[in-house]
Amino acid sequence: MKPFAIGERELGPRRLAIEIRGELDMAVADQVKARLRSAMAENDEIVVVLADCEFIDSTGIATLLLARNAFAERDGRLVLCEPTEQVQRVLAISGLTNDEVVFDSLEAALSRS
Amino acid sequence: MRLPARPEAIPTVRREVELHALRLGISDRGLADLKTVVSEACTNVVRYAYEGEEEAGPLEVEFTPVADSVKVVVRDHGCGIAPKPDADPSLHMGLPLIGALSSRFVLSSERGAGTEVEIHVPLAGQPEPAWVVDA
Repeated sequence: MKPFAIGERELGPRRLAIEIRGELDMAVADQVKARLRSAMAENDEIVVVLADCEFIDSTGIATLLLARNAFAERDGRLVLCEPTEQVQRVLAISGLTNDEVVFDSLEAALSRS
Repeated sequence: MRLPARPEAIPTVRREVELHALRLGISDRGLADLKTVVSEACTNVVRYAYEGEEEAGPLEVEFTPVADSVKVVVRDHGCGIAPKPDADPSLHMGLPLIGALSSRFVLSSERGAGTEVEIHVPLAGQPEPAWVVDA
C-alpha cells in the first residue's frame, strides 16, 4: 500500500495538476479538501491525477465532486484523470464516467478544456 | 474486531479485512469490492452512529467465509438510523455502492440501540451492474 500523499505539478499559467497517492477516504478527506481549496484560489483549471490513488470510496468521490461543483460556480474547471481500476469501477457505478468528469489521460483531460 | 468509531479506524479495518480475504484466495476485483463496501459501512458508523456524543463509541466488524463469498458484519451501538439534516459532506452514495458491489446486503437498525449491516461479497467480485455495462 502506498502511503497517502498529495503532490502538485504546474501545467501552465493558472493550471495545476494535483496528484493523489494512496487511499482517499474519510481519514484523509479534509487534507484533500484543504489542498483543493487553496489550489482553487490560485488557478482556473485543476486536473486531479489518480494514477497512484489505490483506493477511493464515496467520501473521497464526494470530496472531489463537491470541490468541482464549487469551482464551477466560479467558472473554474476541475476534472479527474487516469483512475486506477478500483477508482474507475467506483466512479462508473456512481455514474460519473459519462459526464466530462473523468478522462483516461492527462492529455485527454487538457485537450477538452 | 472492535475499534473506536473514528476516521482513522476505517483504513485499519480495510487492512484487517484485506488480510483475511487474501488468505481465502479472493480475486483482485473481489478484494477491491470488499474494501469498498467495508469502507462505506464503517464510514456510516463513524459519521452518523455516535453523532453528538463526546466519546466515539465502538465500531465492530466481523468477517466470516461463506462458501464462495465472504460475509462482513459491521455493527455499532449508536443512535440507529434517523432522518438527518442534509448538511453533511456526503452525496449519499454509500449505501447504493454497497448494494451494487455485494451479492447480499441486510441492514437492520433500532432507534437508540444501533445499526448492523451484513454484507456478502463474492470472492470473484460482483458482476458489473447493468447500468455500467449498458453505458
